[in-house]
Amino acid sequence: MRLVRDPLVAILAVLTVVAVAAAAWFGTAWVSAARDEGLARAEQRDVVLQAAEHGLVTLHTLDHREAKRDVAAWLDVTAGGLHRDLAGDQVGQREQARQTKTVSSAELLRAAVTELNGHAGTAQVIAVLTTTLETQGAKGEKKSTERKRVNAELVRRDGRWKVSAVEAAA
Amino acid sequence: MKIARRSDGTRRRIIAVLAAVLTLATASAVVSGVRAHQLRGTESAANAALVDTEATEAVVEQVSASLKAAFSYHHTRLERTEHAMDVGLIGEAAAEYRREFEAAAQQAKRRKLVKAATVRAIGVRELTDGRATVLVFLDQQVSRQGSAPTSSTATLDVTALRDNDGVWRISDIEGL
Repeated sequence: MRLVRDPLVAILAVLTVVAVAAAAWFGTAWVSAARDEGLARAEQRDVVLQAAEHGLVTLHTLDHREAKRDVAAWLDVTAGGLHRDLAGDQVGQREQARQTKTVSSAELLRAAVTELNGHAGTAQVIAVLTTTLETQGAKGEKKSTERKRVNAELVRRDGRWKVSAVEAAA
Repeated sequence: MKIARRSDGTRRRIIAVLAAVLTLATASAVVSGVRAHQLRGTESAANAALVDTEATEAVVEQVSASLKAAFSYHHTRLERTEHAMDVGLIGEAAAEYRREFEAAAQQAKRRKLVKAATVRAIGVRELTDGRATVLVFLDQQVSRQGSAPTSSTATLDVTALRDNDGVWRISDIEGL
């Protein structure tokens, strides 16, 4: 056949075959990566970790001058029992912060996910934070820095991971 | 030999079709290649902690056992702790802890101390092929004959390396 000997057609045909093969190869790689449960789990683990870090720092942050904003932030990062407890006592939290002129902040040093159930949407995280607490009472100003070890429980609500329980570990 | 000539129109059509398929296939190869790489090349993807559950479990078990054995002692059986250090610790962690232990051992003998270490909580932060970083809350209880025990909890950022036999050994311990 004459067309096959046509150099332009021949080169185009070869390139096309190569390109189609490459598309099939990379397409398969993409589909397999997108369906890879390990990759999905790795991503979920890091999303949980980020949510825990953000949540724990937020829960240790309170400025009496911005108490309304800070308590609202607590409610935003929590769910379940912890959320109910905090929501039930919003006024009390703000009032106490005002009276003691509390300014607290926290820095997260290390955290690790210890359990992750993606289907149920539950996770456990351990973390260590440095918290700084400033108060002004009758006895004057007090400032203390503390190393805090915590166990946190997280749950997924509407696609977002939130802290549902925090307890001091030792 | 004479071959039937195809019309120029047919040739042009074939070239157009080939060029179109070539363009589409190249574009889709590039897009899927980039996407696949984006999915697999992330930091999350490189970290097998909790993803490879078997390996994660092995790290947790072996690091826990090594810490427990190396951080516990009985004043009458100090060589046991030394043996545990030799088995479970390597490199910087081994050298550093051995120095610390020598002082502790003297005191333990003199004051008849018994120390019990237990892992309160442990979580693997990073796990790659042969290296793991682990966050540990280690409870330590020191008791002395005839007096109440004193307790404390240490927060440790531990690095462990896997040797050729698949055994995880602690290479670095950072107290937080």
